[in-house]
Amino acid sequence: MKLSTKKVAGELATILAEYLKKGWVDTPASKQAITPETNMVSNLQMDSFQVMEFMLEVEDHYDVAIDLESLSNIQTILDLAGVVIAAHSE
Amino acid sequence: MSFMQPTSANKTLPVKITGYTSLVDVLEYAAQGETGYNFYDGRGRLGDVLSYASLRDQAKVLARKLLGLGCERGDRVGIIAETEPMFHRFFFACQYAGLIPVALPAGIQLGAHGAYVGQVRRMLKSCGASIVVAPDSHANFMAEAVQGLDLLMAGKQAEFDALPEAEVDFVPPAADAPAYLQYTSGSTSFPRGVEITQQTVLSNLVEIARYGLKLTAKDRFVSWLPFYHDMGLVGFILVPLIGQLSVDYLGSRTFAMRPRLWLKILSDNRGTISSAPTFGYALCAKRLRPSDVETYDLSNWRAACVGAERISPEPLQEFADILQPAGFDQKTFVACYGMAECVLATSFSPLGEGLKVDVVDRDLMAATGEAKPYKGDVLSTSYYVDCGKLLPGFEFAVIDENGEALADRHCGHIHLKGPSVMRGYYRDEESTRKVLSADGWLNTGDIGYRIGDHLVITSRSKDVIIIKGRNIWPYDLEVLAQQTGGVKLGGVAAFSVSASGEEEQAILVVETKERDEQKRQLIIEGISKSIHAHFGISVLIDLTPRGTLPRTSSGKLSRSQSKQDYLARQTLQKVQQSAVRITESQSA
Repeated sequence: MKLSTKKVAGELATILAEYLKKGWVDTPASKQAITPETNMVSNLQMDSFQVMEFMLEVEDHYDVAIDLESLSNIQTILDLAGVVIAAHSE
Repeated sequence: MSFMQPTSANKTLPVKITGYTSLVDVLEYAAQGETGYNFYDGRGRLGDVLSYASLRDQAKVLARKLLGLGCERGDRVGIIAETEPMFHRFFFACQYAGLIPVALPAGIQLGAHGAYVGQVRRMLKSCGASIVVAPDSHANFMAEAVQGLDLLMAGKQAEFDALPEAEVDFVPPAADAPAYLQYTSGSTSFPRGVEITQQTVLSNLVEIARYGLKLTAKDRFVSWLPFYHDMGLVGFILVPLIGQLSVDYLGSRTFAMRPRLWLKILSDNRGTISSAPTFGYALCAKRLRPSDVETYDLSNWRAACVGAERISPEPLQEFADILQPAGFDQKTFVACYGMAECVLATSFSPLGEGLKVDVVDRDLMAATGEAKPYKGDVLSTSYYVDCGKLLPGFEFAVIDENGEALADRHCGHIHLKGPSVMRGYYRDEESTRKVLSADGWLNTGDIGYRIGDHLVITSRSKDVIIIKGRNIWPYDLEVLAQQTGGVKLGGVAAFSVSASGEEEQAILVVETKERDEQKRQLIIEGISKSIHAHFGISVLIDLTPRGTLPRTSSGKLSRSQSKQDYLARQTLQKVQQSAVRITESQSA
């Protein structure tokens, strides 16, 4: 089954918003709305532990493994959606 | 079908902690027993077992292969230090071959591709590495980092395994030959490699094993700390080795994703010794569910060491309270103080006594530096954790700005001397001279006071910003900020602030003449993004008009004065805000 970038990005935005709501990330930036264009690096400033935990949720949700190289190139939710789709079709 | 089993305790080999002349010696003895290293995967399943016996055999073969490349004694071998058996194999192959291993960082931040490659490259250039090896997961990063460097070989583990073995006899290293270089606590712009010799590392290992942890044959280590940190490399590869004890590892990324696995392994394998910075305990406590606690038995855990950053008692107390039903006793906490420049550890609080908190008069301390014990007579207090007695090999002095020794309970600069102090920073005489005196005293850069023979640390490395156990140098943050559009060279001051019991927060005060709100926002975003990409931390950015940052008489930017000014502005703002609220409520 082929996933669409737009759809996955929308889902990821929801997963991230849910994750942030759980209260681990308590910064003013985290209160903003999450969209596919949200830059997780510059807009959200999640620390490395929060990033890894969020990635775990994403991996579990889509049953994919995100390699380190992909991780190092992800900035926005859209980037992440691209990585998830690529991993899913492998 | 046979299931993999973790290494057990030694059945007959007696514990032998002293009498070694090199790390090779230490491994050769441990290899006579049944103990070793166990690697757990991302789901907490045993993935690899590397007994000391097997490590000895594999390291020797690999050493001959490395020597076959034509390297010379003392050449540096960069190892990207993932939590995999590969690291141990290459580290000890270097020991047999007389090469110097250098653990390179393996942690990758979101969107930080270029920053990571740059960091590894600077370290490789700084140590002049001849050989570099990476786990498969990091092979492409490594390939980028080594481009154009003059190396004998850079490759994946399997590529080294395919090399032919040279027919050579191993020459035991001299006592003063370097055992490894450690790049943990230094500026990433100008990395400094701590040079540790065979006798230096052995001296600290013996003291940690005998006096700090008092190891016995019943001990078992559990760790998720990365090997490119002194606590991971020395504390959980070399200390267990000198005690011939088994270790269970969990990758650092796995810990970040599933912190509860740490406790599960401690429980399942009856671990007795495990360490973490305060934030590790806090993270774990946050993610625990009551149903997990019921399944754990942590009653064997006898030393839960805490170090690497300022020790905050509250999150540790919380951790202990939550896990008390699982048999965790808060007396298990051991406060530790140390640094890579002294191999690893310089002091331990007494085993089995828990954390001892010294409560002092805060205002008096701020005004005079005297840490007067609180007796219910003042309004504001500060508290600091007693880091215990120095290991017997160390001498320490707490001195003032003029180099005069201070009396008990007076804050000053902590200087240390002893056989575990580094020889210096590798090929960096200037940096070495700044911290190490001709007669062997190391200026730790840390501030604290003494209570008899006990040491209390009040702040670590005056300027260093420590977040989640990582040392971040203000200079590196300032450099990044200055590379952002709209920011002038020299117009940035970085420092950190921390409220009592809270984590440090990095602050950047940035001079700008920009008045347009949108453009100011772009500057803030640009700097945040760049710093996050390089260090994975969030910073607060405070824009200030040009020419307002405080400077010393010689024109040098003063970080400490910038910090005081910043705090004063914050206080003023709060006062003004509450004044506005009062006015509003009065007019309502």
